[in-house]
Amino acid sequence: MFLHVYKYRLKTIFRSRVDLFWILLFPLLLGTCFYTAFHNITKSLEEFNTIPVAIVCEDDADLTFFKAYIDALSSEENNILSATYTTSDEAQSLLSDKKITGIITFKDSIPSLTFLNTDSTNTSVSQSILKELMDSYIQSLDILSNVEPEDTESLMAVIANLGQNADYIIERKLTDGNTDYMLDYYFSLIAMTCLFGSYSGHSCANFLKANLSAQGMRKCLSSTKRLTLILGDFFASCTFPVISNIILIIYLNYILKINLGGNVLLIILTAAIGSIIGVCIGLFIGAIPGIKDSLKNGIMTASSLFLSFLSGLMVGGIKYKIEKVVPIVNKLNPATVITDALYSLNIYDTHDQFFTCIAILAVTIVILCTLSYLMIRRESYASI
Amino acid sequence: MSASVITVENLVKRYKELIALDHFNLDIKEGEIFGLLGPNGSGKTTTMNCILSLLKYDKGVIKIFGQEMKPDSYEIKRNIGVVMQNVAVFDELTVYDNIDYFCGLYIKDKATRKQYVEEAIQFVDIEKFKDFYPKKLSGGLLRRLNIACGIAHKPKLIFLDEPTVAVDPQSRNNILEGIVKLNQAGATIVYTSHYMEEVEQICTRIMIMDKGKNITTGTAAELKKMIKNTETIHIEILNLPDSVIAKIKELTHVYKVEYTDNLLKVFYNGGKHNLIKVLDLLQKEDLSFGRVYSELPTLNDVFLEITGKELRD
Repeated sequence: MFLHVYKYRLKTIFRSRVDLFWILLFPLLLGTCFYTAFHNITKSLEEFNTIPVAIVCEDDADLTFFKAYIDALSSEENNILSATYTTSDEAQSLLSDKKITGIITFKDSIPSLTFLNTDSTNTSVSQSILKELMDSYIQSLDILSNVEPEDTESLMAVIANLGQNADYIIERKLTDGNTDYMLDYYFSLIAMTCLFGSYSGHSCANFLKANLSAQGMRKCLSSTKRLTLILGDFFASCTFPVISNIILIIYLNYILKINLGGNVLLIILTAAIGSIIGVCIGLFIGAIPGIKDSLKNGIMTASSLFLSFLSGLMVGGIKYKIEKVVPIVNKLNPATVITDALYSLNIYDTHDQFFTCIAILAVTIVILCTLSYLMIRRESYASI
Repeated sequence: MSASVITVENLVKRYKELIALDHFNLDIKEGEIFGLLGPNGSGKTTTMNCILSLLKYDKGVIKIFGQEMKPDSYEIKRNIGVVMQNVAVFDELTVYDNIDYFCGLYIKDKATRKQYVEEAIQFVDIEKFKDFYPKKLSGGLLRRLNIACGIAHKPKLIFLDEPTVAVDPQSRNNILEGIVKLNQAGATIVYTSHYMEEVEQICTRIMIMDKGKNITTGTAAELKKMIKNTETIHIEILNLPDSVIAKIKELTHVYKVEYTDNLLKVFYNGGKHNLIKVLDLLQKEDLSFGRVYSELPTLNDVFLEITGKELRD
């Protein structure tokens, strides 16, 4: 009997155009829009590694030592700088055209840096790296000037130290995951898809309660046990959003080639649990008596979008701001917990944070399921 | 004497201050087509929903097949079919799938279910439409699908709550014929309607309800015998003198005469050949008249006489 109920409920959902659009097509469309909008930004950020710089020598200073330093930084191994030796005018022109990040000018054998933007509060990462490199060079040069030329041992130590500086500046990832902050938007998208499962949950409640629909009334009058009806309908209602989320994840990960980080199976597990949360929210709202169906739909759409907004669907980084001010909101917002779970899968080497998030989601499911069941289980009503 | 299929004793149902069913009693025998007749809001659907345990009630005892009916009386429910006033089907499922789904809530065995579904489709004559989705069906076909969903599992007791609302005359006749066939196949039928003609046509026994109370119960003929009127004669006639009206009033079995807007109405409480007698009188008075017709009393007249108001108010 359970399979009979499950099969037909699933058929109903798969043929519901509203559910198909909101739970399956809309997230795919939004994912495509995100990809179109963010792809170029991500690409330009990925090409940031090598810093183009112009070197100008305004006197006859001996640049042998400096050139060796720059060559080391420009080597294939380090690939931090891309240096161009030129005149002052040409360098200014390149800087104006933003073809280089800065100009290193030698005057009296002392290098100085020139950037296009002189506002110190608005320095880019590239500018900071350049500053760091020059400071390191000047510091080493100063040490070198204090070393006796005959003291070859100290001299070698300073030169060795200079070479090591390049290693300090080499880009080192804190994690093996994808650090692209645009990923937050995709995580929020997955969370939103999970919450859109509420549509499925709402219709589940609607078709189970005799005081909400004629179909619900007919089910109530049947000889199938109430629990079988509820479980069959509920699991079928969960199946569709879970499948939709799997399709979305496959689409993002394998077709749009967005590296979601972490183990894909665990990402799918998170999305599956998130989808059940969505269905539970819909089931709970749908089961509340005395509210018009249209109002329930409005509440679900508004709450799904608002919770997704708080998790960063529309404004990136909003959840970090909320975390500073009212961290409890992030703990209670299932969309944020879902994105946190996905983020922790991507960033952290251990799964402690991930399992904390999953535990929060599981507790939420239990609470919502219990409350919904209490409202749906009845077969006899005070009024219909 | 047939066994009781449904017995209701002293049923009381309140909606806050409103008393929907007031110490209501009912006894339906096996094999009956029992009609619950009453105006909108009289308590017909509430009675049905209480009997089916869909509605909680304040007081009373309800028994079906001799057992007390409760929300979890699944064994009793197995033998009950319900055709609701509102069409209760899924737009996303085909005609066949809808019937199969609802039948499957009663019948576990797949082969039996398949046979039952096919028979239900044949019974309501929608074979050509079994792969159609409900949105593609006309109002009449949709009602037939609704009936098929309610009766496919071959219940012994069938509740039909105004199944012909918003149905064209041809489909209505098909539905009514189908109900009689179901009854002939052994099902006891409880039929609620505010269409007195339908109830009179198919029901073996009728209960007239008003304000949650049983006004009267009996066969159509028994109910009509309860009232004074046996025949009403209508005659279109111009400028009828008062002296003639007085003579008509003196005719045998005439208990009331009305003359308004050039239409004469003569009410009888018995007698034979009443029409000939009144027309003879008019000819003797040398009065010409137009359309003439005679009406036998209806259930509406019964309701009107007992409650003082029209059934269709």
